[in-house]
Amino acid sequence: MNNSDYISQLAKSKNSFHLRRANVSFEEKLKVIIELQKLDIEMSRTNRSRKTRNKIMKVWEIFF
Amino acid sequence: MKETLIHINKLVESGFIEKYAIAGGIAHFYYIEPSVTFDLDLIVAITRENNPLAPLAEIYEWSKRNNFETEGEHILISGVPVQFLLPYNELVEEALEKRREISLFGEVTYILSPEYLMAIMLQTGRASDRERLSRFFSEVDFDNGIIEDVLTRFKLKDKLTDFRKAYE
Repeated sequence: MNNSDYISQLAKSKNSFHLRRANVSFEEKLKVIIELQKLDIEMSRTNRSRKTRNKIMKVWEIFF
Repeated sequence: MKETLIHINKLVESGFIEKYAIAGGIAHFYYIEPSVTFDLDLIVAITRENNPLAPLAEIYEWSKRNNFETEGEHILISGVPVQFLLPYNELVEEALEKRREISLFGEVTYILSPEYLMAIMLQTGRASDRERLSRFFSEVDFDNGIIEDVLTRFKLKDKLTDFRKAYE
């Protein structure tokens, strides 16, 4: 397999992954957002050079 | 989130706001793959403008009475920082008029339609808007006729051409 085949296959697989994630229920998406909030806060805490545009950084305290 | 929506719907029932729609990141992520966001943006039409210099003042007073904390312009409603925004131009006003009724966690709520969100992203044009807009084009089943009409009326077709040249 040459590089361009590999890259094109990778792009297809990534696109299909993103499409699947775009089509899950909103409730599932909200769970992902909360996990991403935790990750974002942790990465900002441990990597001081990381810039953020977010004015407010707090994990949503909600229950499902 | 259900509790947050219940409180917001009560604001409508009690006449503080005439109508609202979820906008911003959460509205985007209703349609496309989610990424991180920390607040819930709501576009609201105010019923009573008792204080024209501070039209959202009644909402902040309501939040105080209900012991909801505020952080800057955000009101923390049942664990979710909510930002109330007035429709800041004609496109956003129309987007609010044409909002969609949906159900989340068993609560009726309202959200901007994908076509209007796309037009607003095109109009605003920040880096995050361009990145998400590109996802809307590939991930969302939107109505071509509606977007064509909105972009034409709000003179955004040139911006779409520029966007397509750069991102497709």
